[in-house]
Amino acid sequence: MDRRTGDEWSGDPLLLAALQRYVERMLGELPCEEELSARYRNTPRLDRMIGEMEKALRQQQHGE
Amino acid sequence: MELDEKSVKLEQLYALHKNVMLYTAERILRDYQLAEDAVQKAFMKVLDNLHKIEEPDCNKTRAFLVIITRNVAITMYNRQKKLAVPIEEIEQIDCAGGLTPFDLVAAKESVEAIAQYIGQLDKKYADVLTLKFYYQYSDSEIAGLVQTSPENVRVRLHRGKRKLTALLKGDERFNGSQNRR
Repeated sequence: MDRRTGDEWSGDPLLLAALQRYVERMLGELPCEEELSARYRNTPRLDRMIGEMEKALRQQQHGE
Repeated sequence: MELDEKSVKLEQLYALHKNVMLYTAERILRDYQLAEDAVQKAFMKVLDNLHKIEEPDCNKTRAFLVIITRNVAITMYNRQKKLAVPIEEIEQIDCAGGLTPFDLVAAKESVEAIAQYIGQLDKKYADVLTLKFYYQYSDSEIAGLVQTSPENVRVRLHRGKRKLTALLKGDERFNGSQNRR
């Protein structure tokens, strides 16, 4: 049991290894990055939205 | 974490994983613009947890972003369809004297079997189990990331554990004939 969380499943090495394997399998079921890059080559609206988030972070930094 | 460091990491994560996040959201929402909105919302959720992301360019981080995007997109889809998301009721699980199902196995190939069973769970259970035990987020952090209440997170954890335990108990490798410890 993990004393921090009080959960007997926390830190179990077999569960951790299985979860790692699960996320690898999940990623393996997705198209490869080359295919995805070709599909989403131009994303100006999203680029702008994320750019604004970054800008807000920087402004927050300069404001502090 | 410094804000400048945050914005650099955000930029890196976006460059590396934007495409897989868009794909994940678009597959659920079936609408490109809504998928973009979902990716933005996912990044807003991740922003508060950037300090926990140690390595931007790795599978662990990529899978984390896929899980968060999937949950944001599912919430958006449910809201669009006006599907009510009920408060889930907690149920007790049989703790079997503090033993976990993983205490009862020895074989290394069990990792593969457990991973397969986790994959068979409803995503909402697999996701909270993964966020809790692999990424080590607290119940309230998970609630923020998957847009539900901490109570619902606890219920999902209970149910996920119970369902996974039931799947493992149906597998003769996990029926208690061997003891790992």
